[in-house]
Amino acid sequence: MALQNLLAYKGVLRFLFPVLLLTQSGFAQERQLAFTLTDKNSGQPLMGATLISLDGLLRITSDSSGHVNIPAPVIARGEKLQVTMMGYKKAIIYSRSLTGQKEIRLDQDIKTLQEVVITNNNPIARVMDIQMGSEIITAAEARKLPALFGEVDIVKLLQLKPGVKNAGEGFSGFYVRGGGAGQNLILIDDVPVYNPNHLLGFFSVFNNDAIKDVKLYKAAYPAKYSGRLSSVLDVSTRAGSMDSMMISGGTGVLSSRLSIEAPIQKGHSSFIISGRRTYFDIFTSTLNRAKEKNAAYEKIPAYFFSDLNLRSDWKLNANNIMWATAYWGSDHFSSFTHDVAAKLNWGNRTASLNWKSILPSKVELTSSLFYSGYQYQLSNQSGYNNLQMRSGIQTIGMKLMIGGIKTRSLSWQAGVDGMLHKLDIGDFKSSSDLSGFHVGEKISGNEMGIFLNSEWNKWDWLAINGGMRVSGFYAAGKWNINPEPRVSARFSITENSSVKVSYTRMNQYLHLASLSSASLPVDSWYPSTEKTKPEYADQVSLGWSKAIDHNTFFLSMEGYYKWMNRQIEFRDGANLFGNPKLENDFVFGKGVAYGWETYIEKKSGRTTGWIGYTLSWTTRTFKDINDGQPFKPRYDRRHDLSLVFMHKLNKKLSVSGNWIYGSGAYITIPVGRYVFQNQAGRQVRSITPVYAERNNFQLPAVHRLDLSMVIALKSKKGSSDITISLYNAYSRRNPFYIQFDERNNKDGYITSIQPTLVSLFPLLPGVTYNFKF
Amino acid sequence: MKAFVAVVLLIIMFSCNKVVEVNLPAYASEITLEMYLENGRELRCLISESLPYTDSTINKPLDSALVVFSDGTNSYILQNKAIQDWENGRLYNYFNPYILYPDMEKTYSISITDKHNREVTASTRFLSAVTFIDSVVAKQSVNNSDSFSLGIVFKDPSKTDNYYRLLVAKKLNDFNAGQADILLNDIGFNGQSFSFFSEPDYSRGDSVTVRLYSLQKEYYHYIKSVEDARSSNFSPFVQPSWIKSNVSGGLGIFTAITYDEKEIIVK
Repeated sequence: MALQNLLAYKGVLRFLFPVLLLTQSGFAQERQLAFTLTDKNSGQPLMGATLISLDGLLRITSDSSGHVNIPAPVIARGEKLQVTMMGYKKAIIYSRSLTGQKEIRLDQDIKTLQEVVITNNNPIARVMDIQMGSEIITAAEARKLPALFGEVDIVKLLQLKPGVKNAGEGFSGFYVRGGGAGQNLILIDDVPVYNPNHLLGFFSVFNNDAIKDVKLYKAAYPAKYSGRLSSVLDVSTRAGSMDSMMISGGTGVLSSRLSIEAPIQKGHSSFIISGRRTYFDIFTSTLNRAKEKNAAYEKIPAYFFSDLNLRSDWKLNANNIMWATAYWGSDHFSSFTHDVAAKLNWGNRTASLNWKSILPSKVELTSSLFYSGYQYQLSNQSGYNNLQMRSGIQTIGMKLMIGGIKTRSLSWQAGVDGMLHKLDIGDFKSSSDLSGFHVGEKISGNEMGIFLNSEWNKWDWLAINGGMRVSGFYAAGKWNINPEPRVSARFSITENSSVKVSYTRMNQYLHLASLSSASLPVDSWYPSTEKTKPEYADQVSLGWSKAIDHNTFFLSMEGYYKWMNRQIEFRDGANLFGNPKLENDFVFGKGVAYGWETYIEKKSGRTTGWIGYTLSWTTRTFKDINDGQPFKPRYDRRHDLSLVFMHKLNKKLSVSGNWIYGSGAYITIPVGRYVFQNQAGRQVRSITPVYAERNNFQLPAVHRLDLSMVIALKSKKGSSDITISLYNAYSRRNPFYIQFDERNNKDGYITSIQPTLVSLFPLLPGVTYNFKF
Repeated sequence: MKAFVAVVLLIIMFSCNKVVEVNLPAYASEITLEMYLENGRELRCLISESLPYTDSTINKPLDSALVVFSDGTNSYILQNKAIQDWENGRLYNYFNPYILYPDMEKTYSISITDKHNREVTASTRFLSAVTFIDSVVAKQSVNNSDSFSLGIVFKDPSKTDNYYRLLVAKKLNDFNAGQADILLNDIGFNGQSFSFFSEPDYSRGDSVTVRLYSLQKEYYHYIKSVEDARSSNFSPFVQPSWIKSNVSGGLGIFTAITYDEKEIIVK
């Protein structure tokens, strides 16, 4: 199979090899000196800073590690170089002064820093960048925009970008270019996160205070990424200050948070710890205690979530840095009635140790070891019956990546990675005083990948990125190996506009088995086996982008077509719990998704924001579902429009808002009914719904306006603000689902059936107090 | 899990409900059949027509249909006649006084033709083996010494897929008695003992009936699909389920009933 796939890609390889050969010749052209651009205060590397020679002949942008490479002759000539980045003071450097240096430090510009919303990429840089189908959002941007209950969630902000749809109003789960929720590779500091949600998906696991930025790749995935079909969400945490101790935090309607960061050794090492916790349970337990003497009182169930992010960075020397990260998150739900005690706990744990080294040959070596685990436990004790359910996944992995220093015409990256997965699936234990049974699956699987990625842009008008990843999965004594070619190109039309094309293939070896359309904690990961083959998808994209009005606006249009194969769903009536072989209840099919995304963004000035519009289609076809006919998944939304604005009124006051419009989601509603009484028992003459096609009904369109205002407060030391937000400002009743209520007469007999539209959130105000000192 | 989802939705969301007009896709009604073959019972069934979901009529019995039951050798016509099952509180609208005694070797079938010449058919057999209740015990509630739970134990036969329905009640037609009604398949406990304790709904001196049905596979999947279809109507998180019927050309169930039953007086 692997050989067949390789032969099938002979054409792609034929294209790829000349690109790689060309890049080899480009690499040998001129000697380069490597520097790292860093924040003077925190020591954090700065991505997207621009370094230009005043004669205009040299123009370089720092990469994700803050690296730039300056040709040795430029250093030797003693030229004036200008370094700029939004939020930082412009720096003029004499190139000779860099001799013997490895680092260029930029000083924050306090006056403009608060206005910085989107850093990193200015419009021309994005136009010239070969990468397409990507979005970057910073934590600063997330803080500016309105949030449900005032709780900032950077993942929900991504849902305002074209091509990204939510799982339902208020949910942080997301669907990218027609893919499923389990087809997004979610990484925190390069470590996979298996369940990115708290509270049924109303909040993501990412604490905005601990985050530096998030990058979302919807297409043209760099070859270092693999394992999911539809997107890569790469979340980077921020490093602690290496200069001074800082404490920040905030308190809101639902949760409070606190971050402490400080240098361990000034200028060389630092740590940051960020935590947050909700407090529903404190209110509900107080109420329960107050009424515990009332025998008829049914206690309100308790729920809370908490999480903790840790990070420590060490600059070993100018060429070596190390950092360690950890995440711990936990959700707890408990319900106690007179006879029944139920508990549901779930959470993720991640940890990583990373080392980046610039070798004397200017080759950058990055290595990391990591762990990721997710588990849920559900227990129910009812009288003498005990039920316990558990599922989880644990992964230990390593990555080794080597990259050539970026020159004017070439950059390359190669690497190898591997993960050992241990899955505990559908562990079900039932016991009483009389007997008991225990069932479940334990499966191990090893995932590996090796890749080479090369970007070549010798001429201004053309840049080509060619990559090949070979991925594999080992389970039950067999390897399943598959090639994953990635090719993209950028053709510059003018100095500020370009056309981009890309083709990518992705394989997915771990599958999210979910019985619902929402993201639930009991969703289980299932590995590829002899029966459950790896999912794979091919995507082609074509785009055009342009910088407008002196680099003030960024305009882009992208079309895509995606073929998804070996898609997995549960058959009707599947047993998720107590099933000794879950895959026996899987059915397999395929899907397609295609669409067009339009995006215009204002990047600078007192007023910033964007408009994003997506026109898209997606369908699924399963032999065993919907009589084999194609059907639309719930998240197939024809039109999706987002308008986002942020405006700084003065030094103390800024306002922001967003308005969204989306075609209604598709749901399945019954078309017919009949009365079924059964042979005996308590279900007598009850209404049985008859369903026809899957997702046969489209809910009304969704639209909503959210507003936010940030008021900076006077503070002798540090800074603080109050953020007031209005979610759903005109209280639109957006549809969530339709429920059919049975109306009974006084004798208990059903007299009519009434469709009722259920919507979740009316106008909801939120207030959050934030501080930093 | 359902409780968790329900409570979270209740507490967290300030949800609003609004009655709306829904234009449902067109639906052509189908003949529905509900017939249970029991040892020593007359032939009786409920035949009705399914309706569009929001139709103002709740139930539409199908009258004047030709209903023919066959045991493979002889055929019996069921007359259109209302029959009340007082023991179980059920209604039937077709009847034949022929008393059925099961023959495990026979395939039983039924055909229904209505006045519009719509025809549905179904067939079934009696299970050759029945699982018996091993024991029923009464235990005092943990929280209240005056109330009792009933513990039921049965041993699942290995080598075969088995499907069960367990009913516990003071009387089988006492619908307000807090009886247990659970549907089981042996996928998780094949060949092992299974035990279950009822809610502590019983007092000293109560006479309680425990009935363990051994279900045919198609009857189990039919009831499961009906339960799933009903529950998906009230939860946005559940994928709707299609009715798995063994009635060809229509909806419903035609099945042979076998069960073991025990009575216990709580002491």
